[in-house]
Amino acid sequence: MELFKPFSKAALVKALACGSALLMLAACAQSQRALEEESQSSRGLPVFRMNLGTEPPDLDPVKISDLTSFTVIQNLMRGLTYYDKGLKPQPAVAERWDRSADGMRYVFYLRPNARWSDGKPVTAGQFVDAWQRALTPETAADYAFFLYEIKNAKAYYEGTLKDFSKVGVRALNDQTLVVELERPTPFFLDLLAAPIALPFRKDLYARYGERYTEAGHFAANGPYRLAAWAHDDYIRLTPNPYYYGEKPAVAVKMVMVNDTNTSTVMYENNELDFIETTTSIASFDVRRLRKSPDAHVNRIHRINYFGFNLKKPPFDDVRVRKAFAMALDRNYYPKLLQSGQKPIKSWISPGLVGYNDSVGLAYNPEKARQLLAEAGYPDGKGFPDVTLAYRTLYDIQKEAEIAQYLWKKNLNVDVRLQNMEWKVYLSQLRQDASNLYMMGWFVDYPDADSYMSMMIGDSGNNYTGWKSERYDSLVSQAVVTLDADKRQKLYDDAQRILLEKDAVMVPTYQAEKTWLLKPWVKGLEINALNLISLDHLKINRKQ
Amino acid sequence: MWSMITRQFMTGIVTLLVVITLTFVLLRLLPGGPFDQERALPPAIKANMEARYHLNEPLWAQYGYYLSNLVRGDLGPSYKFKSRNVSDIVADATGISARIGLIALIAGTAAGLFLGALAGIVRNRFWDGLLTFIGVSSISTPSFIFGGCLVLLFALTLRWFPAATLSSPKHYVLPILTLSLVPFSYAFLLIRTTVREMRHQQFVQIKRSFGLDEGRIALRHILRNSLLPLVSILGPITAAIITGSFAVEFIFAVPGLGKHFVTAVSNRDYTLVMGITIVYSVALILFNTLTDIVYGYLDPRFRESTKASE
Repeated sequence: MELFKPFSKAALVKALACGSALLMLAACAQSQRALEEESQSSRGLPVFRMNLGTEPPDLDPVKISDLTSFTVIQNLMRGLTYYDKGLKPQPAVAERWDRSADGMRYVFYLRPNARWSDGKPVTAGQFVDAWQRALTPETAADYAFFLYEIKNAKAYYEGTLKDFSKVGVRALNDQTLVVELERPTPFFLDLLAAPIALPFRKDLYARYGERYTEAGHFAANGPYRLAAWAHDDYIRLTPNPYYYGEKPAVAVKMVMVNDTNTSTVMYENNELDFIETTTSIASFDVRRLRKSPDAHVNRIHRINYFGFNLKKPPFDDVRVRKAFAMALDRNYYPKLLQSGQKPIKSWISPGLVGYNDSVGLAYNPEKARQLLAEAGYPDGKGFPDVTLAYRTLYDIQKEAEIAQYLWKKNLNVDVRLQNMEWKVYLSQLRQDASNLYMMGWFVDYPDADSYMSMMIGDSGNNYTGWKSERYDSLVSQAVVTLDADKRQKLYDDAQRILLEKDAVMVPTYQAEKTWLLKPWVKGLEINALNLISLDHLKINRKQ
Repeated sequence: MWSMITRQFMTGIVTLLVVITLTFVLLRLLPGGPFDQERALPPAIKANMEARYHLNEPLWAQYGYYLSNLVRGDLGPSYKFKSRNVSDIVADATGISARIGLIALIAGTAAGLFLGALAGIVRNRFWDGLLTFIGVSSISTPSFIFGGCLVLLFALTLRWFPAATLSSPKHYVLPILTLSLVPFSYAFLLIRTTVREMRHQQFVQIKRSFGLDEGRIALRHILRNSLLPLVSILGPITAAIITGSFAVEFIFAVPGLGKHFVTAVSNRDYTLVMGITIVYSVALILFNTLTDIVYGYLDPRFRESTKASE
C-alpha cells in the first residue's frame, strides 16, 4: 500500500473540507461576477426580463431556422425592410426603394446613418456578401431558398452557375443596391425582412470564424447590441448606441428556462416580466392564465389540419375524404383547447390576401353520412381500420381525441390513434405517411403563397400523395400576379380544388398566442408571425 | 495496487470504446435525423447540410471520422447549435453541473452521515422514529417532486429564495438542496443500518467491556467501519451527480449537462449525445476506480486480497 503512505487521515479530511469550502466560494464568486457584469452592462437602465425557453441554436442569421433564434435576431438586426405590427414591410436599412414597372427590378437606397454597434457603416456590399454566403452550398443555410426569387440565385445555389456576378444583386456604391428578380414577386419585400437577407460582416467572420456570433465579437445593426451570451443560461441585450432609429429605453435579459411550469412560477414570483405560450406557458395552464388581468392574446398565421394519404384506402376515395371533412365540428376546438383557437375551414388565414371564409367544406353530418354510404359504408358498416397519426403533445392529443369522438358520433367509424415522438413522426410522414395524419403550418412570410405552395405536387411538405396540375398552375400564376383582386380569384379557385373538389386536407383552426405582461411594462409588440419586438419597451416599476 | 489500477484503466478504455460504438450505431438507427423539422427542407438544401457534416457518407466512414477526431480531443460540431463545438458545450455545462453537484454531494453526504449515525446510535423511540421517517421519505421522493415542493414553499410562499436560474448565490440554494437529496438518503440509510449492525459486533462489545465510553466507541470504532459500504456506492452517485440531473436542471433552469441528456436525443444532435455519453462513461469509470482505491485505503482486508492476487 505504498500509494497511501504520503496521506494521513487527518490530511485527507482537511483536504476534503478545504476542497468543499473552495467549491462553494467559487460558485458564489462566479455568480457574484455574473451579477456585477449584469448591473454594469445595463448602465442603470431598467431591465426587461423574458424567457427564451431554450438556448438559441445559433445567432448567425444565415443559419437560423427556429423561433428562439428569430426572437433574438429580430431585436439585434435590421435588414433592408422590417415588418410593422400589421406585417407590412417598412423601410429599415433601406430608407426607400424604386421598383420597375414590371416588378422585376428593385433599387434600394440605404440610410447614410445606418451603423453597426461597433460604429462601422452598414453598406450595400454587406448585403451582397450576405446573400453570396447564404447561396454558397457549403454554408448549408436552411433558408437559402428565400433568395431563389433573385435572378440566377437558384442556379448558383445548385451549382449550375459558378459565377456569382451573374446573380441578380450588386452594389452600385455603399448606399445603393440593385436587385433583379426571376419573376415579379408580390412578397419580395417581405422576404427581405427575413434573417437570411440580413447584412453580413465579412471582416468579423474572417477574424473570429464561426465564433463571430459570440458576445464581444458580434456586431448588431438593430436597436439592441449583444452585451452578453452565457450559453444555456441567458442573453443580455443593451441599446445599440449607433442605431439609426429611436434608441430603446431598457436593457433586456432573456433567460433560457426550458420548463414551462418553472417559467410560469418565475412570472408569478416577479422574476420574469413576460411569458407566452410558445416558450413559457404549459398548455394545460393557459385556461387559468387567460383570466389574469395581465393576459393578452393575438392570432398568428398558423393553421392546424388533418391530411389524408390518398395512396392508402379508404382515403383514395374522395367521398370518404369529404365525409370525414364534413363530420368535423370545428367549434369543439376553442371549447376544449381553451386557448382561443379560431375555427377555420379555408387554407389561408385572415389578414392575408387570398383569405375567403366561404371556401372549404363546412360541418354537415347528414351530408357526411350520405357520402360515406355512397362510398360503400352505410352507417360506417364495413369501414376498414384507419389510424390517425400525430405528434406526442398534450394539445395535439386532445385534438386527436376530439376528432376520434366526432367521427364515431357522426359516421359511426372507429379511428385508431397513434402518437409518436416528434422526429419519429416526421420520419414516418416523409417516408410512408399514415392514412390519416395531423400537422400544422406556420407561414414563412406573410403571404398566402406560403400556405398555398405547401400543397403543390412536388412540395416536400405535401404528404398526401396528391398532385393536381390545375392547382399547381393556379398557385404559380398567383405568385406572379401583382393585382390583389386577380390574386384573390386565383387563390379562391385553387382552394376550392384543394379543399372542396378533391378534399385533400381538412383545416381545423387558426392558432392563437396567449401572453402575460406585467403592468409596469408597456410597448411590447407581437406580430402574427410570432415575432416579439422590444424596440419600444418602457418600464415603470413604481406603477 | 498499481497493477489493479492499470487493469481497471485498460478495462475502462475497452468499455468506453464499446459504449462509443454502441451509442454511435443506436443513434443512427433512431428514425429521424438532425435536420428534420416541421418544414421539410428543399432536397438540395438538405443534401448540402448533410454533406457539411459528412452525414451523406457511409456509416463506417462517419464512424472513422468520429474516432479520428476523438483521439485528437475533438468531439465535433453540434448539429443543433451550429456555431458551437460539442467540446465547448460539454466543458461549459459539465463545469456548472460538477460545481453544484459536488457541493450537493458533500453537503448531502455529510448530513446523511451525521443524521444516519445519530439514528443508528439513538435509542429514544421518538427520535429513532422521526429520523427513520426522514430517511425513508428522502429515498422514496423523486427529485422533481422534492424540487417542486421546495419551489412552492421557499420561492412562491415564503419568497426566501428565487425559483430558478443561477443568477446570484441565493439562486444556488434550492437546486443544491434538491440535488443533495440522493446522496443524503443513501448515506443516511446505509450508515444507520451499518451502525446498528456494528453496535452488536463482537469487537464493539469487547471495547465496551474494557470500559471505553460510548461516544468514543461510536466515533472511532463503529462509524469508521460503517463508512465502508457508503464508499462503495459513492462512486456511481458521484459520477451521476456531477454530470447533472435532468429533472433538477430542468426545474431550476440550471445550464448544466443533465438537461442535454434528453434534449440532445430528441434533437438527434448525434455528436452532442456522443459527447455527453463519453463524459458520463469516463466519470463513471473514473469514480468507480477511485472508489476501489479509497476502499483499499479504508479496508485492510481488501488491501490484503489485492496483494495476494498480485
